Amino acid sequence: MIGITSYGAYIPRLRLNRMSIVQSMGWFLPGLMTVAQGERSMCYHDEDAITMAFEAARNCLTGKDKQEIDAVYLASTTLPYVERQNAGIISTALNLKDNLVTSDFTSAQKASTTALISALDAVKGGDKKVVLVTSGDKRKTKVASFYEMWYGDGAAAVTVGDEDVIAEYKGSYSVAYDFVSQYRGAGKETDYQWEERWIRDEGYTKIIPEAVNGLMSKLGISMDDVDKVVFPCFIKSAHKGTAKILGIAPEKLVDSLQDVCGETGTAHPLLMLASVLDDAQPGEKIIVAGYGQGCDALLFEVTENITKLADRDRFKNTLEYKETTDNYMKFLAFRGIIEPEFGIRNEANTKVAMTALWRNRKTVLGLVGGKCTECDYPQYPKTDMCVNPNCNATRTQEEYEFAEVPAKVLSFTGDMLAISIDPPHKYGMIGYEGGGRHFIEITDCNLDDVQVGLSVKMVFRMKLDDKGRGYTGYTWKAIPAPGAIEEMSKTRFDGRVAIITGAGGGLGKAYALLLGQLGAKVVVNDLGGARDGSGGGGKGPADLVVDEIKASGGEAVANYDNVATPEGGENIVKTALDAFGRVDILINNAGILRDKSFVKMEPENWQSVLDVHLNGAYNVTKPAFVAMRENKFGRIIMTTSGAGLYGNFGQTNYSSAKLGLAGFMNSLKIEGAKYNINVNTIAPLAASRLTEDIMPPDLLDKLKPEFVSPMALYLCSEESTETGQIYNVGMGYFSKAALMQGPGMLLGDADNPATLEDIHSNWEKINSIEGAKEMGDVNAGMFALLTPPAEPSGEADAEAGGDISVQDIMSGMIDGFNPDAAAGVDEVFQYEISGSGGGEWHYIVKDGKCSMETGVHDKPSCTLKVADADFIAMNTGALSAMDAFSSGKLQMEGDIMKSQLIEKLFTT
Amino acid sequence: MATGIRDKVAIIGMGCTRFGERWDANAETLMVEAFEECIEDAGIEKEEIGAAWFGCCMDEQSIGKGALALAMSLRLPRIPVSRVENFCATGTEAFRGAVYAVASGAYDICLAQGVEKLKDTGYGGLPAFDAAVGTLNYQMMPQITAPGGFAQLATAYSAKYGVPVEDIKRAMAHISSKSHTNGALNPKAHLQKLITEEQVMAAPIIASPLGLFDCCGVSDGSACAIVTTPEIAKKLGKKNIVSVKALQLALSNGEEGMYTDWDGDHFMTTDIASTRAYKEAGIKDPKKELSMIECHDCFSITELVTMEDLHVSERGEACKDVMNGKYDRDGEIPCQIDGGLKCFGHPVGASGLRMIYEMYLQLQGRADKRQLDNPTIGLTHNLGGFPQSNVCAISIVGKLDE
Repeated sequence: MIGITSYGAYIPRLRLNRMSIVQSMGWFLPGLMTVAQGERSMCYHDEDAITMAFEAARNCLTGKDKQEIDAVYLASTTLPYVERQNAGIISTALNLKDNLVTSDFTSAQKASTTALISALDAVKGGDKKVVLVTSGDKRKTKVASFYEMWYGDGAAAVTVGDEDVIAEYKGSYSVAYDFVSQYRGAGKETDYQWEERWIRDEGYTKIIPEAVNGLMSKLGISMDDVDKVVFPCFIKSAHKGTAKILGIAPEKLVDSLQDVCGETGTAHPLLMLASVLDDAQPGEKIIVAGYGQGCDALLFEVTENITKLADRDRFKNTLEYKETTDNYMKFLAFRGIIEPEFGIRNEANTKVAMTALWRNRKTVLGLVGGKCTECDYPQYPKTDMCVNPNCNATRTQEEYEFAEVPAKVLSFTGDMLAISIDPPHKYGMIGYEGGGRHFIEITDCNLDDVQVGLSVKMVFRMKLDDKGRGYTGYTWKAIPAPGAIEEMSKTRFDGRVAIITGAGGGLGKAYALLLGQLGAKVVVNDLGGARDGSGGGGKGPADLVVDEIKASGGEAVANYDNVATPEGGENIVKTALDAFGRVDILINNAGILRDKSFVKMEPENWQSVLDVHLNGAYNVTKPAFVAMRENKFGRIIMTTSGAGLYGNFGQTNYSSAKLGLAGFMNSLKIEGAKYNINVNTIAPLAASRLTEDIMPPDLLDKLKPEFVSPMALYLCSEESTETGQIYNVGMGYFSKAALMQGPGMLLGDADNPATLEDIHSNWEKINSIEGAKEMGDVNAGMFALLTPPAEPSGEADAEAGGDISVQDIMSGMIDGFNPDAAAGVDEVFQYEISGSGGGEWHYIVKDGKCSMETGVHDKPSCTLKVADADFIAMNTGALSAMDAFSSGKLQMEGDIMKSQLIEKLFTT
Repeated sequence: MATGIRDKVAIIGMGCTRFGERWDANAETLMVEAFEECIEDAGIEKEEIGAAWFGCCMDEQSIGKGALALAMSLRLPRIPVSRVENFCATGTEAFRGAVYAVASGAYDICLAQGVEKLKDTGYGGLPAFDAAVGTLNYQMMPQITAPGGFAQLATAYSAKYGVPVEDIKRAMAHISSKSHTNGALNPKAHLQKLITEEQVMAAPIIASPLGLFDCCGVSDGSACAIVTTPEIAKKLGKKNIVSVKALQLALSNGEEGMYTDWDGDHFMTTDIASTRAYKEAGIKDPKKELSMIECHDCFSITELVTMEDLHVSERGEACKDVMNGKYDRDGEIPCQIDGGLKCFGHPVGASGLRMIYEMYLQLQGRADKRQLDNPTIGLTHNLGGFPQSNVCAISIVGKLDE
């Protein structure tokens, strides 16, 4: 059996939105609108027919033994060389054997199917075992032509042989006519096309049916026996018309890829075939026809072997790996249709010595380096002396291919000084898995996508376009590996050290596993005891989790200390510092239960629960905080519970501990703020030992700790700025819980406290939490209490205005500054006065001096906000500060205690 | 058994032109300008010079190959003149030739001169190296410009030490701004204006993350030195004799760019060359013993990491030290006290000698407004090539017999 043994496809990443051509040139040819649907593929500036045909061939050869290839046929009408075997450049880039036939098939759009027939004949003839047929075209078109809209750039390849055939060759039928629908004379850059109506009427709809019918007749079949029909036709009506003439049912007609890619010239029949083979089923019969000065029609029958193809990218992968652009100018510049000014630097002599190219062809074109037989180190390029400083042996290297070795970026830059048609010129140092590194251009991507650590893929691209001499040079470059950019933007914890207490199972284990997976080094603490805290000292749980983390490629160590003692806490943190040198993240998760109704709760039950949950958190957090402070970074999670936040029968001990942890967070967050140590609390809903009694098994199944851990890690990430917050998390649900304060009210006055009756009659208002707000700290709470919302007031007192302005008062404060009271004071007081007479001023008090500036300071100690009339009233004695506070006319923000200094520092 | 160069050679005269866009001068004119100052400073006759070393890197730009340009411009009395080149370390290379010639006893008095006339290219930045770096350069390598090559230190350093690139940019800005503060006091500098850190950080990007003010300029200039033995220097009645304490070179062997050990964040060569230089000069604690440093600040990032390679900042701490002002004019070890490459630009053949020129003036108390308080040891660091493949030349000069 002879036929196709593998297939490959390549469509350049960039896709030009056809509307962008219309937007630029629609004024010239409004008719372009009629074909402006979808997008056309567009080569990057360093891609051409050869580089694309190479990538398609490479894709095709995945999982195949390329040394079996006996011939390479390249089909294209846009070959860079009229003399220099273009197929030979591809075979060198593929590092194929020397005993090979190479041939270029050119001059007609059907060159690829013609090459395919020749390849099949060659294998049939018996002298060739495997033939690679690859095809690519990058056609130049005139600005604002329909062809600019219709054409796309692309490539496809197949291998043909007699083993592991995936689509058996049944036969072919060809007609050749000198039907010149378009032509390009030697030396011309663009095609000359005749009228589309004639091309449709006399060309497609007559010549293709002749070949296809001839094929079916030769093989004794009819269209009913055929499952799919492939033939390129960029005139949509002609595509359908030809299909109708041949009696091809719509579901059998393979899409011409116009909307997603455009017609890719000689590559198109093979590209359309690739699009079908992705999902082809054994037994399907496919007709493939190539058209251009005649027509070749071939029939293939898909075999069982199609299910055994190696796992690799398919047509759909190259189709979907794309970036749509509407930069038509870039399209024109990349193709040399417009020539931007590159400056004198571009005049550098780039002449290539053919002698040097020959000697180094495998290095330059094949990305072949050397592996030292003495020390096994692979290096690129191959050199006479091994680069390993511990080896340096001479002439010991064997050829070593780097093209498919995974690599990462080690350093990079975007260089605006270097010449590039798509600045900045991007390059850097990449390092291969297993050894070897070198500098390389990073191409076909945006600078923002490149980071140290990015995985890259090596690709074959144009390097030199020496127009003066007509020389195109090629070499290898790096592009972001598909999926790598998204991978890099994921939140990771590389370099971070995390401690999780109680991590032998349940939630703690879920946190540990996820952190380990995302790059953190983990200290897995677990006492190993039973749920009620009895027993313990066992090694099992923590070690098992450590093993699991390591098995997935992560780093972890176990710790068995008891959080309930200060020494235990110290030891846990010491384990982290000894093993990994720092502490970044702490999740206080360890906990036990001793549920009892209150009257039956013995002191021991009460105390032990507090000891593990609350004191345990203190014992570990204290040394951890000290370590975090050193690096000005920390993320701490406390574990609370709905029982603590709201209450639960039989859990007075547990609720006290759990709400106590939220209280711990409230104050710790204030102390941690200046060190970028954030503290947050999670109330998890998950199945663990602590909940296994109280929930039915089927509900427990849905309560996986994996539904909680992402939230905990989110709060522990570097990017997260949340601190002092409480979140309920579980089963996919998320909500925030908060302690809030209602607006409140003032009853009575300075001399007369409210009576019980006053309180009773105002109960509704006292009790209201309408408009309740969160309080950042105790002072905020206090002042919020003291400043219930003002009753809507009338006009400000006319007397309070007078001739004095806010500006006068502000300036006057400087005069009233008391340097003696300012010893040791380093504060900024910000005033924001609203109203037409208002403005923004701040006073900077430092080193015994005071300066005043307008505007808002970016780090005021505290801010006073008041309306202009009220401010004047306060300063003329018409309104006391206390009244201003209590009536809500004066609002304060920031460190409100510092505002007390104002009275000391300024006499008005 | 070799004993190094310490105190075997003294500098008795130096000269340096004004550096900058010398539209007015050919390379020949620049050489004569520097030489006139130098020979007068030395107080000897031209005929007493026994041999000369001539440093010039981009000969294609101005004077062609060979040493004739120096011999003829200065009308030297048919003495041996050798042209030397070692990329941007060419200046120190010329100095080395003259110093070793005197130390060998083959000559009494030797001249080292470097010159570069770069401003005839017609465009900004160093001229493209053409086929200078091996015939495969254009076939395989990306077009690595000088800023692009060095810029990569920043991303590599950031990844290795976890220092955000913004912090590195701020430290780089401090470095450039500090150099301008020094250069503003130097009438021979190309750039003599002050710039602020904010201006540096806001400048357009040249090769990310380096901005325009992180890069030294391209300029023309010449500098030279006349050296002799300490005995002859004393006989000539010289006071405050400046002596060569160490001269070290270290060249990459290709390991950085092809093997696995280098992280892309520093210079393996500088690390080694400075260690050897300190040993040769008898310096046990450079942090305490160095009075001043002239470092190859082609780009501010180079200066930043070089502080660690010179062992005056701990690994990963350079940003902190820079921001704390350790290398400012009034800091512990002033760096680029004359304004550095940043304010002088980098006429390749001359820079190494210009660095020694400032150390020489400082040690003799003749550094005018830039004078430091009683400096005793100065280190120059002159680097050619790229972080992954380079020539590092270090010289240490100080007061004779101290």
